[in-house]
Amino acid sequence: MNVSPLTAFALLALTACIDASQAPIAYDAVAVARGNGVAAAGAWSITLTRADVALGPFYFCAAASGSSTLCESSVAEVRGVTVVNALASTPQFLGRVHGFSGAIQSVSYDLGISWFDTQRAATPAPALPGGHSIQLEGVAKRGAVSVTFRADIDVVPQFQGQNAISTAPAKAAVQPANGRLAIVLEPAAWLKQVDFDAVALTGERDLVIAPGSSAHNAILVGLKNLSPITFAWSESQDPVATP
Amino acid sequence: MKRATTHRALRAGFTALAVLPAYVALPGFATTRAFAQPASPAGTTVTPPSVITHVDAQYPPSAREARKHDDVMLALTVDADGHVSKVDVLQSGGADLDEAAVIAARQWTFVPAKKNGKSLASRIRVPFHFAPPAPPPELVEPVAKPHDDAVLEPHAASTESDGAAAEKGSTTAEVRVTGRPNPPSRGVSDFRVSRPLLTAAPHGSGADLLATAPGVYIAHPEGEAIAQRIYLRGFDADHGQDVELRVAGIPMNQPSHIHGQGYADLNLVIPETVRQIRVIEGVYDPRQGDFAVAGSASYDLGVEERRSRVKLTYGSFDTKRIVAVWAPSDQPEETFGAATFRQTEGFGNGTRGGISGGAVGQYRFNLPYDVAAVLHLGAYAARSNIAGVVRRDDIEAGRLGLYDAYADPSARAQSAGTSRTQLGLTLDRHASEDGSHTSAALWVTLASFRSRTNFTGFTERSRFEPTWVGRGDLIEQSNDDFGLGGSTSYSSARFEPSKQIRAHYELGSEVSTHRVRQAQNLLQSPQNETWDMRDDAELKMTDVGVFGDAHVDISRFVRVKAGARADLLFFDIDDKLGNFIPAFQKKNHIPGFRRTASGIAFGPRATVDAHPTTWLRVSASYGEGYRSPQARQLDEGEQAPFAKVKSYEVGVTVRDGDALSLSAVAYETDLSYDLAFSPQEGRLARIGPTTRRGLVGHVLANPADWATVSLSATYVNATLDSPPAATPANPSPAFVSGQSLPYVPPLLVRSDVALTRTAGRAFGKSLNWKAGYGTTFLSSRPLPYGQTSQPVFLFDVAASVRRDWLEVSFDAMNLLDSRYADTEYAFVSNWQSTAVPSRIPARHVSAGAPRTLLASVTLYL
Repeated sequence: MNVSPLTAFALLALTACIDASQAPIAYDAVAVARGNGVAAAGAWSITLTRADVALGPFYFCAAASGSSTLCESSVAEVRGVTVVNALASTPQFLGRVHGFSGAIQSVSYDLGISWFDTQRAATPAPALPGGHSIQLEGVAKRGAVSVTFRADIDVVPQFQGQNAISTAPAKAAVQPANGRLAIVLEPAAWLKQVDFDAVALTGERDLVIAPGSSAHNAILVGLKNLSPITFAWSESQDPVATP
Repeated sequence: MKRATTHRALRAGFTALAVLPAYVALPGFATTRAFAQPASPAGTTVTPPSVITHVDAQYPPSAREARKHDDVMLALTVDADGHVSKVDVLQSGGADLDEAAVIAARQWTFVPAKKNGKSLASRIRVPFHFAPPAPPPELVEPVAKPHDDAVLEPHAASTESDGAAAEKGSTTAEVRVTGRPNPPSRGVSDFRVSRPLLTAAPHGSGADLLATAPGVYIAHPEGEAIAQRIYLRGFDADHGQDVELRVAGIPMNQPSHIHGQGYADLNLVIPETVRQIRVIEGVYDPRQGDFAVAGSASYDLGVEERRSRVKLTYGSFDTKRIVAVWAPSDQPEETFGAATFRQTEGFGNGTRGGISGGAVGQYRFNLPYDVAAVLHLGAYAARSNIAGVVRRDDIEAGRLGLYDAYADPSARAQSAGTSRTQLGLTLDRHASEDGSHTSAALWVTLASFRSRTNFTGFTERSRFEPTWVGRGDLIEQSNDDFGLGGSTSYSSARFEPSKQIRAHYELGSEVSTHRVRQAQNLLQSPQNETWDMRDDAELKMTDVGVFGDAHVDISRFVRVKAGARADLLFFDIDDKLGNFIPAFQKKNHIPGFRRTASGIAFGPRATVDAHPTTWLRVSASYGEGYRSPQARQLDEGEQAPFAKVKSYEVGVTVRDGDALSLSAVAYETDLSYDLAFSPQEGRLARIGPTTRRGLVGHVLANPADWATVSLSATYVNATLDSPPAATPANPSPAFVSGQSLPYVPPLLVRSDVALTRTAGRAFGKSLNWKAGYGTTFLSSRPLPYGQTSQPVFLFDVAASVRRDWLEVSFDAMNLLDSRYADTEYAFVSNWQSTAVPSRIPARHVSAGAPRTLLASVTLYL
């Protein structure tokens, strides 16, 4: 076979351009609800009848800390904000993950309310339910005592340029074959720290949880620390529901 | 005639080889190459004769048996008609050789010497070198038309009696002829690019001329007031970090420059005044100093055509340029003055406008004791707006055009202003009695730099006030540099330690010292309020370099050039923001970190040349060079961590006289640590050791008297060996081990074609036509994060016609109107072009210029 010098150069150049490192990839992200909207908190049984949760944006980081001040460059991200029904029994499509293959150790993210570098204040995304990150409705029962509740939860970044959840663990070695990121949430469990005993003592049976209240803060503790959102990568290509 | 001689030699072998150190390539060049000099004590001017035709001496048969190998020095009396009227033997090589030399010399013709414009007889010295005929013949230095040849360099009679003779109206002026200093080749990758190729294609700036050398690509991603970006044989040399650059012998690289180590702005060079560029790719010459990592480039300034001229240019984007060149006919090429002004709106949406101007002047004169001096003065100033980069995803989404700039005030506030003034004096003395050479040089430079660039939009956070964020990453950099330096060298006469071995050596030193004041801040536009301070330092740096070099002809076929260089570098750093106190920390000291550091860089360099036949040259070279560290990165007492480079290459050149030259080189370059552009800081950051292995092919042809062709292809596999590991501060490093080096095109192909004809007449005068073009092909360039850029193909064309004192020319750059990225990056930015910002490294482009048409009129005075 005759190969001209120019062809040889071109082939060599092509070879030089091929790198196995950090290949750009894109795959689906889905929200997966766990717990069927039911949780137990001491003597209380909590059942959700509505759980609308705004998810996003998510920024995944190769370092152990995903804080935007320590992780200026992400290796994967979901930039859209999607409101999902956290009581759905099937995975719901959140959007595409764009990024690179390789290790992921942490994530920082918002739940619909962001405070980007260029914003003067934390700002809810237009699609948010009632302008809040989360809207929960349900009932908590302890024997014959029943308390219905409606919670408007705002998960707000503390500082300009930071995410509401400034860093959280999310470990994976993402390969091009990875087909899906599952963002797993269990909203009923977020209410475990709400002091329904105290509510019951007041005689109040229709509880409205608003930002700034102690119950609101208890839900944030549940969301951020006790039952945080988790992340799982899989090769699943199954169709998912669109919220 | 030279070409004919070489062909004869190729066909039948030599009967004689007369290698003239003072060899004039072509008669057409002879006149313009003459260096006149001399002013008599009374101030009258004598122009020495210049060669029109020469005839090689034939090696006498009588000398064959003894295989004589000698020199003959003749004194020729050239009469007022330009003929040789008398020949005297000053240095005999034996009767037979003397006779052969005299026979040849009598056939030479000259443009006669002139005094105040009037022809007169003169007396010159011409050396002849005889080597015995042999296949293979005597080793010669390869010649690359036209300046690789030593040329006749007449020096004025410097004694009082000579001057007095001229003043008294003597009909004979003593004019001594010696070879112009022309450094010997250091290997196949030692390229000399001469004027015909430099002018074949249009070049917008002095820096762009470098693109005619194999393996070089020049980009201007940051506008007209920031130095060019250079790619050389697999190196992204950025603004000069890996290429040692000199103009008229004056170092251009600025150590520890805030915008990039070794920053060198070649915009000072006025293209019309460049006579030759020498590009050494690799580090094989002991004279190569700091920043000679990928190689070095040296601009030789001179104006060959001795007529003054004014050139007016107008073209695309309301570009206006005027250049005036003063080149009196009774002065040598090195004596000239040139000035230029340029103004343009720039392409795109009005964000690339700039204004610049410069002047360069040189004066060559003689001093007593046969010392020739060149005084050089250059100055340049420019200010331009910078469009900055544009995210490729914004272009693809239609949010922005390739030639647009972001509308944000922080993007529109990008600009740069720079100035440089330099003064140099070079002294040379050739001792005709023994051939030794002594030189000395002194230079002073003063350079200022201020830029405001924003690559990343809104991602930075203030270190002083951490809650300050999102005010725009408009990085202001300033750098004021005062430099002083000089050099001395002595090159010995050739000596013969044994019958078969001939040798000479050179010893030299080179010193420089710089005083630098630099700062880097973040500004909030449009008020340009400072909202963060990143650097504020005063630097004192001194470099003392010494080198030795020996050339040894160990046989008639093999020559060894070997030497070494050592540089001591000293740094005194006053880092006013060192020991910074973060906002969360209680103040317990005053910020500031003053320190000193020093180190010695040493490197051997060697080349072995073999000429088994007249048409074949094989060489192997090895060399170690260095790049000095950025001063602010040094700690107290640190042994300056030089970036060390090791270069290896083997090459072969096949030559058919001046008609054709084919070169092929295989090379490897290992660098101890490399630098790459960091958009967050707007400057260079370390990326670890790198290796380059490549091939270079180069064809230089003169298929006809009116055509010159150059074609080169450079392939390189440049890899990153051990990049910095992820850290909390940099958790997602852009580079991984073994990846292709970012920004470096694996394949670079360049061609230049120059055509020159005299054809037709107009109004009684002949018309001189010139046409030429240059093409550049860059293969896809690897980018950080595994991305690649698009290939680039550029086609530049120039054409002109001249009738006596009037020339009309037309330049078209990027004639095919390729839409290309002059430079492409991958990093995180936030230009607010989407509601939710991305933190994924994205591709950003700095657009290359679209089709640019320029028309010029030149008036020769």
